[in-house]
Amino acid sequence: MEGVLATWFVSDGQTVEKGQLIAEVQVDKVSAEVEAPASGRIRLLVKEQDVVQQESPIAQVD
Amino acid sequence: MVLIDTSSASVTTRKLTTAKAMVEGISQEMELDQSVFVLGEDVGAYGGIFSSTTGLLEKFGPKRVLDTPISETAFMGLATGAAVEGMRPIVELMFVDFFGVCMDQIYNHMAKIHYESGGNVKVPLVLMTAVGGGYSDGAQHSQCLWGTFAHLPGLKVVVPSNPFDAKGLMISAIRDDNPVVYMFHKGVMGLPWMAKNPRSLGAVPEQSYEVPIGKASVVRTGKDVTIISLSLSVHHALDAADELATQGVDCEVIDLRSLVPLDRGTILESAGKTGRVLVVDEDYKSFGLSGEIAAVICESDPRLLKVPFARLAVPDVPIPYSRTLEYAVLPTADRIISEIKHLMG
Amino acid sequence: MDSQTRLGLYKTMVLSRSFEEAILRDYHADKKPAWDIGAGLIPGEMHLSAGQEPVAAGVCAHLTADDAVTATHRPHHFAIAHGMDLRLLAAEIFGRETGLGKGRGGHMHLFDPSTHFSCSGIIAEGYPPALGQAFAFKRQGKDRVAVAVTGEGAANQGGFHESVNLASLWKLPVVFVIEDNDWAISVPRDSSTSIRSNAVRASSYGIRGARIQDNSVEGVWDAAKTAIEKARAGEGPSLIEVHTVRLWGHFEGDAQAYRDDLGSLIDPIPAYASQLESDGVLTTELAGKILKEAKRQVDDAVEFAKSSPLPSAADAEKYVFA
Repeated sequence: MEGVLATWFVSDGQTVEKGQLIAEVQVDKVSAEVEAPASGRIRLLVKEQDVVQQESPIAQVD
Repeated sequence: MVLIDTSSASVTTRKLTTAKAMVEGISQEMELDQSVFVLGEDVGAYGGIFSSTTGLLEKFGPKRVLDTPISETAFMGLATGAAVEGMRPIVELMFVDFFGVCMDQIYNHMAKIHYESGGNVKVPLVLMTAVGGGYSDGAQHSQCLWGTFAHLPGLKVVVPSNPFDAKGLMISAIRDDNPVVYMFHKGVMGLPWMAKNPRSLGAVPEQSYEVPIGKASVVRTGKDVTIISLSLSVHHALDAADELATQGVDCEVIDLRSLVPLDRGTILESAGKTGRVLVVDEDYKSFGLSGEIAAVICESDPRLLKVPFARLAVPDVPIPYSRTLEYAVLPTADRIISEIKHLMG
Repeated sequence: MDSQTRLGLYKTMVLSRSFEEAILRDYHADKKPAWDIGAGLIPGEMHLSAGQEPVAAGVCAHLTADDAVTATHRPHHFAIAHGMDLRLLAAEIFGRETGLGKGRGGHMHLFDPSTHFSCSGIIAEGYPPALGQAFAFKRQGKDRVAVAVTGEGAANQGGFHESVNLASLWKLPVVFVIEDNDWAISVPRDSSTSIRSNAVRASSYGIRGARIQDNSVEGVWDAAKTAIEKARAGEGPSLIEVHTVRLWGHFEGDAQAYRDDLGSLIDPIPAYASQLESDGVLTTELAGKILKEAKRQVDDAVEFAKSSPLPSAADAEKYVFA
């Protein structure tokens, strides 16, 4: 399944906490929320409106 | 209770869309107050067609988040009856355009019971409903109609334009002892499946807070001209103001945030300051909000204005389907700019 | 049914009729010779319920003040049978500051928090709020019920069907009551309704339906007992239709020229008195006492109303918002 990275709720380089809402991915007329899997500094790997594949990394938390 | 005004927004970096901010407001009140519950069409598993109730069913269960049959008269009246008995319902009318099938319960019952009872019966509920066009949904699914509701005594009418206000106004609406019609424009919700609107994403404090109902917000200060608006049109007004600033025109932008009560003080103060007023309203032009604001100014002091009052509203036609036609009638930043240039002579 | 219960039903009906006779007198007293609907001690439309007392008495005998009733534009008999304070009711009808709604409501818009009573002047629109009251009772875990009343004309309204469906779906403790007085103002039931009995509509929504054909207060009492017990027990809503009689016209001033059956109408109160007398439950003497006591209460209420102040014009905008 593929979707579009609709919204980043965080900025590149920001510190996030585990469980925090970081992004929303849109698949047709529904959207899925993405939460931070861990705490740390986040590096965004895709831009808003990029097409993303299921299970492909969209960000990295260091 | 924490009271925060946008002008003194607390420091927060956490961003939410308007839809998520609304849901957070509802969710926090549901945690605080067992008498709050949500009902309407597709508010459960779907989470609201415009994401106004996402996740509430999972969090609070089917006893407090109820999908209804397509029977607006029955469930609108049910909300009123439950409110009379001390509950605090949040009832969703999926599109405001559907009010025709249940208006009797709204304006003859929920709005009038407090008065008819001589103040003995309270009806504390929130009627939340999606408004507005811009995405080719046609004449029966694109209206704003806030002027219609504001015209009828007994209903408060709030219309948030951004995530911060959406949460704070929702909390205030739930805590209010009156029926509050909470009208959210689909274009400010930050829905991923609509045209991207950067102003639909913003900082929202995590704690609970109220935005007072009846207090307008000066979202941009300026000295040359006042743009009075609400809801999605505030975004267009701010875009127009940014553009006009590069051309040497300094716009003040007022977000009314509520029609009832109407913040007449803020309107008059700004009109007196700039002497030029443009109302931008996505509702129909005649017999509505824009005319009301003209009347407020005239009744106070027509000499406040240096140039004739101006308004940009939907002309008195049903909202057209075809995109070129629809955008010919909706307020846009370009049309605001042209109106302002005309006002500035 | 025991004698005390039967006498209780009779007393309720007599009280209701006595009250409406007093209203009738004062309503017409100062509207003549030129009849002006907006003039007089009691202005406005006046829908009296004479003839329909058995419905209210039979149903409300099973209720307490904790139960809700939503009535119609013709609400007095239900208000009285449900125990509304007669003084507050009379004062509201006379438009006084001491009335139930401080003169803001009037006789079609009575809201009494102490008996959870309300009414709607809009046909069928009293049903939906009753659902909400029942919903609240159910959520509060109490065995309280809501009774929702309409006339037979309302059974053709959308609000009726939406409400019965939803109440059944959510198993709400509601008892729907239809007062079939044969007439929707001037239109007879058979000219407006495709079926003979609205009780059969209950089966469309999977609930129990009953029709009491003869305006019998004891028949209503029996049917209501079952329906209310089931609602209290969590078994959901029921529908009861009562074929009753409208003795005095749709509203005062209605000459009823469209009706040719006026000579054959049976007043249920003397009919019930005869029945109770022949059963040895009521004597002429006791009937006289009951009537006297009813009139005493009514006189007191009307006197209270008439001696109460009118609302101040300066306060007309009060109570729009809480």
